[in-house]
Amino acid sequence: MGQIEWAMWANEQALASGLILITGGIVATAGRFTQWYFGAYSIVAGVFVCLLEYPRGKRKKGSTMERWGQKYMTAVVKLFGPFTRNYYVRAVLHLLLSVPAGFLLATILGTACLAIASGIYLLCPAGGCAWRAVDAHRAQAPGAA
Amino acid sequence: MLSAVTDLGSIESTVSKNLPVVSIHQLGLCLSRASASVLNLNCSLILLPMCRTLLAYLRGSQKVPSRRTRRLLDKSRTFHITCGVTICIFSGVHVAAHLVNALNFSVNYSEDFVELNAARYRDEDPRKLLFTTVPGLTGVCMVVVLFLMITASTYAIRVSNYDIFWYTHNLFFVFYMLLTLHVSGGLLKYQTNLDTHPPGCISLNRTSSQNISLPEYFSEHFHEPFPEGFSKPAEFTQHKFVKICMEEPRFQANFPQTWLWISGPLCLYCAERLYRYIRSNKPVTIISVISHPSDVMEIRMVKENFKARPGQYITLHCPSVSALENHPFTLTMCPTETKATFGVHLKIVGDWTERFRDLLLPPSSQDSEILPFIQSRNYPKLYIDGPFGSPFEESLNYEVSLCVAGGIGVTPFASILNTLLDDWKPYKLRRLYFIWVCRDIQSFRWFADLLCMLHNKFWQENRPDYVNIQLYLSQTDGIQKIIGEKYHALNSRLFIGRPRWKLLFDEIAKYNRGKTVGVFCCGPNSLSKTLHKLSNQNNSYGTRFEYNKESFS
Repeated sequence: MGQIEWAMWANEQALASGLILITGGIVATAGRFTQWYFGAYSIVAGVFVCLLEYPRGKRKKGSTMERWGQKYMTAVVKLFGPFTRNYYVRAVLHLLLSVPAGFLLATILGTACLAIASGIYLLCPAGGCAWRAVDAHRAQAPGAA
Repeated sequence: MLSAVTDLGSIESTVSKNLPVVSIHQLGLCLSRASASVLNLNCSLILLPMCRTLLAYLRGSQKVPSRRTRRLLDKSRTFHITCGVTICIFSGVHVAAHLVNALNFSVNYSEDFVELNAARYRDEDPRKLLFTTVPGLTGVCMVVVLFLMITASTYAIRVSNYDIFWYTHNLFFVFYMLLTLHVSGGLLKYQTNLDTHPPGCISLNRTSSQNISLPEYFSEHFHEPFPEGFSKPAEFTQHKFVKICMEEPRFQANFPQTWLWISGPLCLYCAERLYRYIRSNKPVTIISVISHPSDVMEIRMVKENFKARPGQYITLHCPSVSALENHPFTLTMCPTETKATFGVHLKIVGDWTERFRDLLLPPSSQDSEILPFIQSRNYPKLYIDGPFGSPFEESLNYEVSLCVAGGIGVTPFASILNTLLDDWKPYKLRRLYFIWVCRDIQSFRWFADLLCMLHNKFWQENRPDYVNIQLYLSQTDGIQKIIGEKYHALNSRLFIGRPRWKLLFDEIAKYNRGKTVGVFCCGPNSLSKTLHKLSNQNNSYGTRFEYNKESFS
């Protein structure tokens, strides 16, 4: 049980939260509820989170299942160096991004989900896990017998 | 989907009968109620494929005679996942619709029908509605639980970190408890006195309505002339043009339908878990532990009243290794009437199997083949749960079967072969093609004895074509090409390189014209896909290949 890679789960959660933020934002902006500009913020934040979390990081042990077409975003995410590599930075970033969406009813779920993802990122042991890009040249897959 | 459409239709007709309701809810109500009924159905159905003991019983019982029905049971995991995805989508619709509803409740607070309102006063902040009412709060908690469960159930997580999936998925119980509370809020009401206060009736707000005659009333309230043809009051009353309210409307909350939907499957599932817990509470007695080449360990054990069919699997639970983990292993030897021993073969991959092996086989003696009996006192306690069904059981029910195994995937077929060794006559199977593909030649030693014994038995009974064995060594370094000196029958059936499936299928089709051949595969996904595709292709001999798919994570 000590071998659980929490970062992988946090990554899935953050991606899902991004989608929830986008959906809530669309509902809020289209319905022109009061304070609908929070909805617009939520859409932008959701898109940003989705793009950041789309490339799956390399696992410590074993082969990583890449998402379809993730190599394009991997190149972009790699550019930011330590800001995107360190999971604590990501945790804090997600927490900050989630706060403004909490003011509007339609996007409040996005806040909750992103905050949970941020919390799970904090479970990673310090220095133990970091986001590493999956190389374009992949090792020989465990072939069929 | 059908339930959503019919519910939507019935709701719209109900809504039109209760006019005041329309002014508060409008479309949001229809969407949320329709998605709620889809959720009702799915939340109740999703539990059924998880009653694995029940499914194993159905698979083996005489009550399910048709093979087509039994093959439906193979798809139980896919069905569970489909229900899960549907719950996810319709929860999204439900939540969105209710968020709109919450806003409408507060904005369109109705003073006429105070009981129907969910808000307590006009323009109540919808966030307060969400967090301080029972349905609102339970709804938010349910969404969070669902979010945790769904993000941990993706294929990538199941394949890499099965623990996360397993532990979060057990939150389903919290989800069901919250669901039970969610519908108990009594938000939706229906009118109990429709006969005395029909919708659209006119209420006379001063004295009792019965004493006023109709024409007077209409001359007071309507200034336009009577429509043609309605000159007499008698005719007028006959057509029931307008109704007079006898009394104020009374409302009562709907009985929560969800309780009816989920109580059945939930009780069934809880009963099944209780039964499995009681059944697995007694530890097994380990008879022997055998170490095989290529990191495989065989465990033979006995347990009272344990019955299993060939092809079924059990889960092992060893508290000394890990308090919470259960791992499934296919039985390689089933208990028979004469012999109560059953066994599993485990490949040592991952931390649980490694620790398990270290407990059973102390490192000093891991090289030797069989452990002396004296050591049995030190074996850890082992609990098993099962047996559970799998599609491989069906291989004995075809007249001709093709079984393809990749590496350690030979285990389900090993139990089939053991059963045939014991007695082959009661089963429908008359010809078995057994193809085993391995990367390492030592792996064949796991069942080399069994295969040789089976081969010899059928030759002696003058049925040499019953079992056709083909062994393939897919990777060779050119050094060793025979399995062992004494395994003549196997050495002559050993091929180097990968099998050529198309040729194999053509050959089987030619020698079994017009028959239905059951195809079973236990191995890597790519192998499974290849065989599935080939099975679905037509051939010129009229032979039908039926592919029986097993799904592992």
